[in-house]
Amino acid sequence: MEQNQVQPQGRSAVPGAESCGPSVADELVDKLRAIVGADGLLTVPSELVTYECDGFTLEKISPRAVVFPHSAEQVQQIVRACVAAGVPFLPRGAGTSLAGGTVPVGRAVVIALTRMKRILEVSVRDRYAVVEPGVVNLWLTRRVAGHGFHFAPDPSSQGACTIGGNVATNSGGPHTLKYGVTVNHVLGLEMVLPDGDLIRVGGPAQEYPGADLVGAIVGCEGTFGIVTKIWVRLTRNPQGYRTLLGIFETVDDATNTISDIIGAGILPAALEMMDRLIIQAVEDAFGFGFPRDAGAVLIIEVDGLEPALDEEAQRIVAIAQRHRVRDIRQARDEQERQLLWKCRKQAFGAVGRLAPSYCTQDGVVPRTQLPHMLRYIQQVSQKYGIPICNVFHAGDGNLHPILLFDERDADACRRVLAASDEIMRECLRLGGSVTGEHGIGVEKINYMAHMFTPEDLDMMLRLRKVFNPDNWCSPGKMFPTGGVCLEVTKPGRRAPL
Amino acid sequence: MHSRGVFDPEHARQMGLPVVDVWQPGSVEEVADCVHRARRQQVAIYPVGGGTLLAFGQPSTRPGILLDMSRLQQTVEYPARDLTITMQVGVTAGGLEQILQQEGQTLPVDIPRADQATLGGAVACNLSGPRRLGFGTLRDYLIGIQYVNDRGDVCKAGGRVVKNVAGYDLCKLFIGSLGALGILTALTFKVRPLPGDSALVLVHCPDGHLPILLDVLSRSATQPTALEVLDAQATARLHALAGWRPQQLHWLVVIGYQEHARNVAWQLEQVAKELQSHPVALVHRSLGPDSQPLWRALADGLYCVVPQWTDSEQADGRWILVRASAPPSRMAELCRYARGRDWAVQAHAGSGIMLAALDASDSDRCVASVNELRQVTAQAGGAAAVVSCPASLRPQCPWWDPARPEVSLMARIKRAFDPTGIFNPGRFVEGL
Repeated sequence: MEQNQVQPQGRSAVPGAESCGPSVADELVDKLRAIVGADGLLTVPSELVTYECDGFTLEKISPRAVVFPHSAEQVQQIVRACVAAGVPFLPRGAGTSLAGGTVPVGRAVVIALTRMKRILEVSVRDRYAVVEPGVVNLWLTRRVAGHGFHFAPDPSSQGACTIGGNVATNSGGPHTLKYGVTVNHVLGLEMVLPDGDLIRVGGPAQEYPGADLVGAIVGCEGTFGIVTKIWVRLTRNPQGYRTLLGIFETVDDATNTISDIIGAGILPAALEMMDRLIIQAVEDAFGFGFPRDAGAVLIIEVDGLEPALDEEAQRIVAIAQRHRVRDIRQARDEQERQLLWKCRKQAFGAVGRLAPSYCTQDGVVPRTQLPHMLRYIQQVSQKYGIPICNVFHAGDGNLHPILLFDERDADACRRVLAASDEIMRECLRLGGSVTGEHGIGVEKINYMAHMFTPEDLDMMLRLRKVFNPDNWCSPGKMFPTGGVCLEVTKPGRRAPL
Repeated sequence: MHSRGVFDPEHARQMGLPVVDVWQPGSVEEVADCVHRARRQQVAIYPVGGGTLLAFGQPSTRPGILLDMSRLQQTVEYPARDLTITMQVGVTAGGLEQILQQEGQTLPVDIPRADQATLGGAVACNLSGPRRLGFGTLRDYLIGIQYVNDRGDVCKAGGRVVKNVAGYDLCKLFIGSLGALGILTALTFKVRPLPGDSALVLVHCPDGHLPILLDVLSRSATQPTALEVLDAQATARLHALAGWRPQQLHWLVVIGYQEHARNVAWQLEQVAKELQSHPVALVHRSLGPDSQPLWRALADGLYCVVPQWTDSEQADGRWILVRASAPPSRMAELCRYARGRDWAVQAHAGSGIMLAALDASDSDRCVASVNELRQVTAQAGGAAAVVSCPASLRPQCPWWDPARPEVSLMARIKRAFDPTGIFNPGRFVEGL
């Protein structure tokens, strides 16, 4: 059983997590039912299956229960009941995260925030909104679209993922190249700490005295507490867009174009790359009209005030032409632009056409290293006999190499792990990171010690202890501590159907 | 060497730092050594950059070492084509700009007294200015830090790539921490291409019309990089630069654009149209490179009242400077309130930040005014911090409102990062 591979964070870190007997657990379930009512609680094994994992399906653990609170007060009561019963707990949004952040390590209670889904306030004049954590990312953008505003972080899962989840993982997306990731758009947070206290940091104003606590909490992957309210910035829609599709014979020409666009001081709103394998899968799925023999395509969007847009687009065309672009053209209208973005954002969904299983990495390299890194990935692919396709946020240097295999083939699994590891290590060697936007979760815990010294990690753990001293909240995440040994033996996730 | 010269411990004492010695580390290793030595000698460490805001924070009582960071001057790495730069903390904000401009790049965050203020100090104090409306603040650019912790270990957080979610974002935590959590030694920023053009439009706005004007500008089709509101006192230093003498000025509203040249030109035309039907008078327009001195003067703004360590006569200062925040829609109300109580006012109105300076000669009245301003700001949804204050008043004018909900959390973080209270003790949270 895969459950057995993941241990809670050591008995000292999660006292009683494994030792509490059935009667204590039943008592907890009764208490939780008293807090949220019978329709706010799941305990039957068949109902718990959905909550065993997130988009990282390798590690699965059945939660002790799933609770659906409606308010911060209920979250406080739930948290206190769990701690009293000696059972860990963790927050969960839509479960679209990709690194195992929502795996209930230690048979934790899952606090599902999907019923806290109200948009509490919208202030267009002051450019902020107050939302509950279960609000889906795209709902907020739709709500304020009529005023000419949007919520800038736009992960590919934005139709499903929650803003609470965006806060936990500091989500990115294609347009974060120009507009910044989630942390750049969060003004304030209300959070239930593991001791049940309700705290608030930041708020509707753009600045509060003292250290930037909001910034330190965003991206904590649910290890500090349960966020129950979020003040987010609203961003004005640009006056205009120019969306370019560049078709290149080779990956090298495309990556050199990217490097030169950034180097020339142009700041596109988005700059995305897809290579031949993924182009073919996307073409099969959506029939946009991408040439199936192209080596790579770039989707480049510039936005802002109208007067300068054509000139910016022309500069990009000129750079692409210097790198032998086969064809570069502008989206004809908004409809074509939307279709282009749909192809890009749903590219992962098309991967299922290529192989029964896949494994995505999330490495980052300095942008000038992209040509080298893509060649390196190709070499790794050949060395291990594992096809790898690439669809990624090129402008940020944030790679998403997708390793294709069949998880029933044990040898292929072993090769995928070895290939992934080589790619990650090369990212680190070049001064990059093992994760640009997916997070550490349980998947990349073992890389933390490669990126950071024991002293670096100790300082991070000191911060966690301030919020979560006994590690009841989201144990077994992000840090290789307390005897956790996550032996990953099978890579990646199945392609979604 | 740094042009600032050597700190005089006597001046530092006058400004509330109980300094017994001055150390000048020249490398990260030497900073770590200093921490080891200070621990052995059981003295505190007061890291100081350019010394432009020495009186920010609570006064300290524990004797300690003034750690002069200005010898940490290296450009650690500048891969210009990646649009990132790693600098040691002793480099001034102005020095960084010179390096970046050679590659046509910039870190577009306004640091007051940029020729003297260091990058480390700017991060510790979370400084920003008029252009935060268009370009954001340091938290939007700082992607990696190197620092020395309480045990004398050289630590890091973040990295040198523009997108990175590995581990907690301690970079953010150090922004605004007043040097109380560790000693920053190097900083990695993402940077931007220099804007192609810039322009400033200065208009006079009658008092009663200020709320309407700010509302209208918040809906402008243009996207100002800066939107400033200044009263007559705060404009005093701009007169010579703008070549104009105000006649019974109520409010000077400054609209600034830094953008592609075509966009600047279009926005100047557009905003002129939008303002046509309003009772505002154009005072001055400053275009292109000629506008630089005015941008600079706006960035320094009311920080000019903060006493400098070099000025022994003024070391204790005469002014109190408050930095208040509130949602932008409350700015007109706050500005009018403050001016009505004799504060000099400069607001980054589009961002909801107001700087207010008051002559502190009448100390009782001054303390009451600070407390009132704090209440009004809190009622508007924001908070106020005392950025500079004569030493004699600092016990009565805590730099931030002790009633703020974050205070206890900050205190816990301070204890976790610096359990023995070696870094700027007492300054960040009282008694810690």
